[in-house]
Amino acid sequence: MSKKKQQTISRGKNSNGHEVVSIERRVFSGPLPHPDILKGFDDIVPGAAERIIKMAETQMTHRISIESRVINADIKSSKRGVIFGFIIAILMISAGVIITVEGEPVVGGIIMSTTLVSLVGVFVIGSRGQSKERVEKENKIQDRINLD
Amino acid sequence: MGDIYVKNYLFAEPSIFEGVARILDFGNNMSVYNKSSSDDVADEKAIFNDWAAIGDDFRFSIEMYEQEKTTNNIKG
Repeated sequence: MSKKKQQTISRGKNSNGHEVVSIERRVFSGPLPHPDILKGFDDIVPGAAERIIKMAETQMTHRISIESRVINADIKSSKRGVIFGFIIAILMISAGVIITVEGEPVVGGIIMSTTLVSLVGVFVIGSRGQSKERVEKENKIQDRINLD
Repeated sequence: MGDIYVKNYLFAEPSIFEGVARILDFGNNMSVYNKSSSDDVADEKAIFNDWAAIGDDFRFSIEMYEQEKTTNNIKG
């Protein structure tokens, strides 16, 4: 968060000869840097402000492209998880059924129950992880807005 | 200074682990989004976060420019 406080105190006398004190206070707070920072750069190197703005634009394009690529990759990864998870679950349960039918009900039962317990475990942990991530993000954004 | 922008604050990012967990998500309970108390609050958060992203990019560019300038001064 960018914050800047500026206070100017000026003293003088009015037409009646009374002392007058005026206090001017400027407070800046927001997600963007204070314009004086850019102005400062531009004063030292003319054209620096424009260059910095261009760099910010390039960075923004780059960030958006990276974010969309990461999200797309995550969605693909999630889809792969559904497909492979389903295939593994079907294979394991089928194996359990075949082994049970073949006369080894204990081994077959263990394979099937282990598969189901694992799936339920992944579901519970996955749901909790997602919920935790969302709460963290919500708290983060709430904190940032309250700081403003 | 750390980043102000919160990436994808409305939802948890998908992963392969989440994909596997979705096999048992018959009630679609995993598609949950962060909600706000009102439309105004939702807008406030969204607008703030958009500007925060731009502010972060600005700060990054200013840091890069400072580094560039320092390197040029050392070379020159």
